[in-house]
Parts: sequence; structure tokens; C-alpha cells
Amino acid sequence: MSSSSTQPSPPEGTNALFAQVYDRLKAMAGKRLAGNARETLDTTALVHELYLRVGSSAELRFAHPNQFYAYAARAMRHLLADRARDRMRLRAGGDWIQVTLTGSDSRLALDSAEQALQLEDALQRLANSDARAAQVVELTWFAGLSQEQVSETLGVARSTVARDWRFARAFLKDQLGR
Amino acid sequence: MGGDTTTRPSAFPESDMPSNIPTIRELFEAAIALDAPARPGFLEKHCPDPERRAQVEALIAADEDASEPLQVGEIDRIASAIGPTLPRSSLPAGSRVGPFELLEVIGEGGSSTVFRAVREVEGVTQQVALKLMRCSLYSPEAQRAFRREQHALIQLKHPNIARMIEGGVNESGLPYIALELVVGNTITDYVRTHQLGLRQRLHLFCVVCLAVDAAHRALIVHRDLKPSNVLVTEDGEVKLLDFGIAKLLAEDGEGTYTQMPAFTPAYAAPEQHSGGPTTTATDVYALGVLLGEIVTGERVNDGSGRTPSSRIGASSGSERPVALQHVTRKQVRGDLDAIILKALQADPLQRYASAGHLADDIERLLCSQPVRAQPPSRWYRAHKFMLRHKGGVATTVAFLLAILAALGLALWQARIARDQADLAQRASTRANTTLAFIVSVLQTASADLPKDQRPTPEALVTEAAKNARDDPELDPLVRAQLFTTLAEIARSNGESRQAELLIDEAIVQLHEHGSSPSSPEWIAALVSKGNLLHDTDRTGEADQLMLGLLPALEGVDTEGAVSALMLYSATRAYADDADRAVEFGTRALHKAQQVFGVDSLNSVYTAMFVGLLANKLKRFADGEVILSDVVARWHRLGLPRNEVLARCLLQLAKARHKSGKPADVEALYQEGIALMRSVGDESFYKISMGLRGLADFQIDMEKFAEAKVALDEAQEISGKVGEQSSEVALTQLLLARWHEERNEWVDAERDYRSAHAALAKNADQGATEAEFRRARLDWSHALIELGRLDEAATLLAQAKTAIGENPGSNDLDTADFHCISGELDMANNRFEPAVAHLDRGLDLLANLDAAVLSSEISCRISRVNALIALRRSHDARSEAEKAFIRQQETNAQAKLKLAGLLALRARCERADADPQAAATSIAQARKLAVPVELLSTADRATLEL
Repeated sequence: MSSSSTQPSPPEGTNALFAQVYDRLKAMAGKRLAGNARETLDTTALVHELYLRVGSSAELRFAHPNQFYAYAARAMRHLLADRARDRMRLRAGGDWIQVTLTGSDSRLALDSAEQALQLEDALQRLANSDARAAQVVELTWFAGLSQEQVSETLGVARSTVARDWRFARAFLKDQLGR
Repeated sequence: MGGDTTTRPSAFPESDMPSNIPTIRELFEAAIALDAPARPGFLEKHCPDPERRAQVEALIAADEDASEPLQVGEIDRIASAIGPTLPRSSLPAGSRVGPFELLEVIGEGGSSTVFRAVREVEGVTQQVALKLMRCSLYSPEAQRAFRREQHALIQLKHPNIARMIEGGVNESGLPYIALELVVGNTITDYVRTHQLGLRQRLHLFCVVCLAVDAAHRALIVHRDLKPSNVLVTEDGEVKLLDFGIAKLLAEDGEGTYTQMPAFTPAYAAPEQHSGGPTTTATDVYALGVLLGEIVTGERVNDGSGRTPSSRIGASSGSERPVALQHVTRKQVRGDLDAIILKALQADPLQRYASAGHLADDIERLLCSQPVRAQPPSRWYRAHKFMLRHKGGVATTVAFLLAILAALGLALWQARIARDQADLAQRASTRANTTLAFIVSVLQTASADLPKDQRPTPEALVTEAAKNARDDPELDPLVRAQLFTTLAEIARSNGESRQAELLIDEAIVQLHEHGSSPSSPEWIAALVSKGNLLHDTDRTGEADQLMLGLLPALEGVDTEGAVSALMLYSATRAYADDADRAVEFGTRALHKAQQVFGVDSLNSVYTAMFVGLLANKLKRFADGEVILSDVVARWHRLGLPRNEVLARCLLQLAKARHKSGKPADVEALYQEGIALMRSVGDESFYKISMGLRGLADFQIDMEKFAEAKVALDEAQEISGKVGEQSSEVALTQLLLARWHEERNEWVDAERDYRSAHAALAKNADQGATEAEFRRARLDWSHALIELGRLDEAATLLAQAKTAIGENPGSNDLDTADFHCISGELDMANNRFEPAVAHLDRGLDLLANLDAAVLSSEISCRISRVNALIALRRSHDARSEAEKAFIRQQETNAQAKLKLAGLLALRARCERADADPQAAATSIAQARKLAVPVELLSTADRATLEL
């Protein structure tokens, strides 16, 4: 799969709140990874940490905590896809920066980037087929919410979330071929 | 998968095709709601397009496959593997930032990029490291703060700190700072690649400390000290990078205001995680982590609670490929352990007062002087001096003393564990662990002596005490402390007599010295004495001693005060003073959390003590809350999965069971039992304890088959302990109850009888006194059911005497005594006194801290029967209703019980001349479909089964 064939919607540039959540998650994630290369990034922990920080800041105001998670999960998803695309572009030598990666890390990084893009691609297709089911997945995977929290965030019944999830699960498994 | 298959999408009326074409999802959901064989037909009918049908079929196949599309944590793995974000917003090389020309990227941070950059200063090319932020500073306020901080940093000049050259904001509003360019390795890499020995490593670390200290004196805190910020150049020169930068460029631009600055979690002090104020003590903590890593090669603050020295492979390099062959465990054990741990104290006030003090202690260590980290400092210092001037056994004693700080903690924990431990287990476990510990010390200490000349621990203690007594230079207070410590060692060896002599000597010394009762020395001595009294079954005296000590504990926040409160709580529990026991247990917990931090091992243990105490006092709701927290914390802190955790799980299961929260009870029991099994065969009797708890729960849930399996295994294990042991009796008691609940009264009576006999034999041991009283009551109940009323009357009279000896102490027994006496009266056709007894019993039951459903229900049943006999059928009916509702509310799983209660209600309704209601009750009971053979004869008749 080439990176050009999957073009997920860019971060909603018009939405300042979203942009800020995205930037801050990106900074936090970057810091974690830069701090210790061997450390595994805990994406949902990042989202929750940001939530805690946002709670004490005046600049990011959300009508409801639920709104935050919807933004943050989306931001985290875009972040992953963007990073994956960056990494793929790097392989193509399309960027000015020289990044020295050791051989094995490089292979792993590229494979993972490809995997991330496949995932993003599958999520896109799911969103085209059933937008809410895609959002359920987003909240579950990228913000680490439970089904109950997802139902609260989306304002739908638990049974609806369960049904969305079941459909999404089948859909994604089919798409990802596993 | 928990899909909602009960609601079918309305797009598929059974009759004909919907007008609009169903979506893939609608087809999928409708199909999976059908049985597999019906699906092809359905799809053929509603999805004629073969391509779409293939899609739906693929979805169905994927749905049936149990795997998940993505494994847990896979996103994290992918994200980590891809690596850090690339600086999309950074400037390309060759462009300018302020007066600097960017040459190349030399580093990537989360919020900034570091370039090698140059500028011309009066004809000279100056190379710098230029750090360019990716985000602009949000507010004017943040920009002002940036300039202010930057000014302070430029003033900071120290040969071991990379100089800040200039800071500013570039054309696009991004802040940047230019720093002295340092080429070097991180300090941890440096010591490894240069294969430095311990002394050289410590010298290097001292340089780091002094540089940090200098910055602190200029009121600048680093906030993010870690190996990558401590470089060593090829010339061996230490250079600290990024001093104060974390605050200056907090990634949020809000760090200065919310006290949530950027930091690296692995090196961050607890107050940084919790959002507390960042002070110089924060850097001291990070220095502690750094020191640990320099000497052991590992990050020592990983929450494992291991001492730094224990991380160093015993034999060089066998365990870890990157083993530090140039530092041995023995070198680090003792003073260096203590120094690192002092720097890593959770409470900032307990750490070194400054980086300079830390450097000072390292230097003392390097010239074999006493270090400040070893508490308590006075006697330690005196003895370090004393021991430097004596030889022979004293050398060994020196080693012994060096481990006392660590030993003190071990003893303290052993003491807590012991407080809950069984009498028999107690002595052996504690003696073994501490003995093993001391022996290992001795092996290190006197390795140069032939085996037969090495002193025993007792001889060591005696010798040390003699030294302490004879040394004229010794301060009386120091001497007293030494005696206390030696007494503790003796006590842990099981040498109670030697311990008591020593502790009394300590108390006399303290008294003569005019020591204050709230001084740590005094508290430590009295706690030690109290523990000794408690050990030797003089709990009453220990209780009095602690009571006298209480006023002195006010406002004293030390480990000794925690121990004192806990001991008092324990002695109050022994005296059946539940309120005070819980009160002081809770106070001990609060104090422990204050002294050691909420997440410290000591606090977790103290919480466990309070939780077990609550259970022991039958305050299961309290126990449930506390133990849930302990277990959660245990997991979160990554503490070892050991017997202590197993015990905790079993007690939590019990607390949940008894406080009416049946949800996880079985799983908790299973986990606890499995863990106990994995710990080893020494704790066999604890496995049977767990099995009994599980069986007790399963009997309540009427899972008779499962309960029997657990009981059979418990019986097998108990049998190994000894035919006549109280272990066997306890299991038999439950077997009896198992029969009783199944209305198998002959078997129940037999088992109660033998349990009672076994418990009577062991009654003088005191441990199973409560069970003995219960056995008597339960047995008499069974006898009444079998019509053996005289025997029952005799037993009840005995029970009354036993309760009389200990009035009010055990309300459940008193309540049950009244209930069963009521039954006996009933059986003797004395209905009025029966009702009086039963009313009294119900009153008492209602006042218990934790409801005991089984007693309450059986009391109500008896009351119903008495009322029927008195022809008060209306009252009987409402009582029967109440019993049914209570049972249903509290444990609706117990179908057999419910069926019996419905039959009883039906009899009342019949007596009350309401055959219609009776018929309804009977129908309701029959619907429960319980095994007929387990119903009592009367109920079977009523239900016509």
C-alpha cells in the first residue's frame, strides 16, 4: 500500500480546539518517545494526561468532558496516521531531514508505519460505511474508553454501542484480513 | 461478543422486500440474529447482488471468528515503533534564527529541535547548540516569563554547566535558546565505556552534585535531570545541559503557572507526578536516580522497592549482558544503598537538604567516614568511630550494625505480618527470614574466619551489648538506642529473654538520661517492649504500655509512632474493643501515609493490617473498601505476587461475601487459592482456609456440588495436618452446614458433633474459641431439628454459661443463643416464651455491624412457626413475607431457601384462610424448580412435590 492512496481527512483546520488538542498530544507523544526510545508509548495514558492538564487550563474549554474525548481520540488517530506518513515519506527521501535509524529499528519503523496506514485506511472505509461505528472504534482504541464511557460520550444507548462495536469488529477484521 | 441480537432491524418485514435497499450493516445484523442454517436463504432473498452478498458473508465469517481485529496495546506498539514525530514545522538547514545560522539537526525533543548553529562574533565563529521550539508562546504573560527566566539563566556561570548564550524569539514567533555546544557522552555511557570503578564513578557524580548545588544557590532548579542531560566530554569534564530549560520552555507554555512543567517521568520526583511544588529537592531526587543508575546500571526508582545493591549481579556478569563488572554488590550495600534511598525519599523533606549535602555524604563515604544517610545518626556515628578502633568480633559487629537500618524495616514488616499470622506459623517464618538475613550478613562479614569460629547471632548480640555497656565514651542515649536495636534482633531470633533484658536496659538508660517520652528513642524502646510483651502472650501489659504512650505520640510523625499506634490497635482488638481497634488502626494508617507516602510499601502493609482487622472484627463493609484499595494498589505498584497478596485476596473475597457483594467473590477466592498453591506447600493450611471461604460462599449461593469439591479438598489438606487438629474441625463445621442447608439433618448433626469434639480438645489454645462457641450453637440447632431436645437443652445451658463469662462481647452468639432457645421452646410447645426469645434474638441481630442473613432467616422461620401455633396467623403471614423479602433482597441465588420460604408463606396463608394466596405462593415456589430431594419434608408436602 502506498501512502498516497490513503488520504485521511486532515486535522480539522477550521476547528481551533481540535488543532490545539492535536498539537498538544503531538508534543506530549514526541516528548515521551524522545525521552526514551525503548519506552512504549501509552496513547490512552497520553489522552488522559492531557485531559487532566486541560482541566486546569483556561485555554482549552470543552462544554463537557465527553467532548474532549471525542476530540482527543480523533486527534490521536490523526497523529498516528500523520506520523506514519512522515515515516513513509522519509523512506522515499522526500524530506530534508536526515534521520539516523539503526537498521532493525528502521525496518520495524517502516513496517509499523505501513501497518498504521492500513489501519487508518480500514477506519476510513468503516467511517464511509458507518460513521458512528467508526467513532466507537476511535474512542475505544485511541482514548481507551470502555463501552459504557463510549455510550456516554456519544449519547447513545449501551446496546447501540455494543451493536456498533460488533459490526465494526467484523468489518475491520475483514478489512485487515485477520 | 455481546451484540444486541434481540432487536431486529425493522428493514426486514417477514413478508416482502423493503422498498429501500438495506445497507450492508442492516443485512449483517439481521443475518447474525438468525441461526446459521437460516442465513443463506435470508441473504439470497434480501441481497440478490452477489458482490454485496459476498461482503456480508465475509463479515459474518469475521464475526464468528473469536479473535480481535487489533490486540490490546498494538496501537501503542505501532506508535512507539514508528518513532518520534518529525519536525514538520522546523526550518530547513541553512536558514537563520536570530543571529545564528542553522547547520544541522543534532537532536529532537518532543517540543523542540536542536540544531548545531554558528554565528560570527567579532570575526570569530562561535558554535552553539540552538534549541528551537515548535510552538509559539501563547500569551504575553508567558513571553514575559520567558524573558525573565532567560535572563536568570544567562547569569548562571559554572564550569560544569553548559552556558546559556542567548535566547529570543525568531521571526515567526517561535522561541529559541542558544547554548554552549557540548560534545560528549551521557554520564551513564561514559562510566560504562570507560569501565570506571566505583570510586571514580562516585567522584564524577560528586562533580555533578556540586554543579547542581551551585545552580541551586543561584535559585535555579533544573527540573529535568537525567543521563541525557549530564554529559562527560572526552577530556572527562562534566557538563550539565538544559539547566532551567524545562521551566523556561515548558512544552505547554503553562508550566510556570500550573506547576505542571515538562519532565521525564522516569526521573521525576513524586511531587512532579502529583503536581506538587518543584524545588531543589526535586533535583536531589533526580540525582538519586542518576546515582543509582551510575552505580547499578539500572533505574532504581522503578517501584520494585529493591535496594540498589540487590540489582548488582552476585557473581559478576552472569545475569546481565551489560553487567557492571567494575562495581560489586558488596561495595554498594550499606552506606551507598542508604545514600541513594535517602535521596529518593518520597517526602522532599526527608531527602538531602541540598545537592551539596548529597555530595558531602559521597565524599564521606569515599574516606570511610560515617554517612548522614544512616539513621539514627548519633549512635551510628559513635559506633562507626568505636568500631574503627576495635578488632575481632567488633569487625563483624560493624557489618551487623551497617545493615540495621535496612533490618529495621524488615523487622517492622515482619511484625505486621506476624500480627495477622497464625500462632504456629508466626515464630518459624519470622525467625527464618531474619535469621537467614543475619546469617547472610555474617557470611559476608566474617568470610575470613574459619566456619567454626564464626559467631552465632546470639553471641553477636551479646558481644555487641557488652561493647555498648563497657564503652565509657558512649553517650547514654546512643547506648539506649543500641540496646533497643539489639533487643529487636534478639526478638526476631526468638530470644525473648535476652530481648527483654536488653530492652529493659534501654528503658533504664533512657530514663536516667531524662529522655522525653515523645522522643523517637523512647517511642522505639516502648514499641519494642510492647511487641515483646505481645509476643510472649502478655497482650494486656502491652496494651497498658501503649495506652500510656499515646499522649506522647501526638504530633509525632515517625515510623515508631506508626508502629505504636498499630500495636495499640492490635492489643485493643485482642481485648475485643472493636471501636478503639479500628480507630487506632485508621490513625496508624493515616500516619503511615503521612510518614512514608501513600504508595509506600509500609502504607500498603498498614492498610492491609487495618483491612484484616476490620474483617476480624466482622466489619466487612469497611474491610471490603480498604482491602479493595490495597489489592488495587498492590497491582498498580507492581508488588510481588506472594503469599501476602494471596492472603489479602482471600480476605477481600470474604469481605465481599459477607458484606453482600457477591459479584467477584468466587473469582477472588480462586485467584487467592491459586496464588497460595503457587507459593509452596508450607502454606497448605492457608489453602484449606481459602477453600473453606470459597465453600462457605458457594453454600450460600446453593452451589452445593462446587462447595463439596472445595470442602473435600480442604478436608484432605486438613487431614495432613492431623486428625484431631482444629483445621479438621473447621472443615467439618462447614460440611455440617453443607448438610444442614440441604436439610440433611442426620448428617449435619453427626458432623457438628465431631467438629464440636475436636474443637473442645483444642479449646485451651484459644485460637478457635469463637468456632467452638458456634459449633455448640449449631449442633444444638441440629439436635432440635432431630427432636433430641434434652441434649440440645444441655448444650444451650453450656452456651449460656460461656456467653455469660464474656457478656456482650459476641453479639451474634448471644442473638443465635436466643433464636435457638426459641426453637427449643417451640419444640417443647412453649410458644409464648419462644416468641419472647425469638424477638430478643431478632433485636440483637438487627443491631449487629454486619447483617448475618442465615441467622436472621432461621430466626424468622421459627417465629413464623410459633405464631402459627399461637393462631396468630395474620402476624405469621406478615413475618413469613418479611423473611421471604429479606432473603430475596439479600441473596436471590439461594433458590432452595426461597422455595422453602414460599412454602412457609403458603402455610401461613392457608392458616389465614386465604387459599388463593397460598396457591399463588405454591406456584411461585414450584417455578423455582429446585431439586425436590433437598426440600424439607414439610415443604415438600406443602408444595405437593
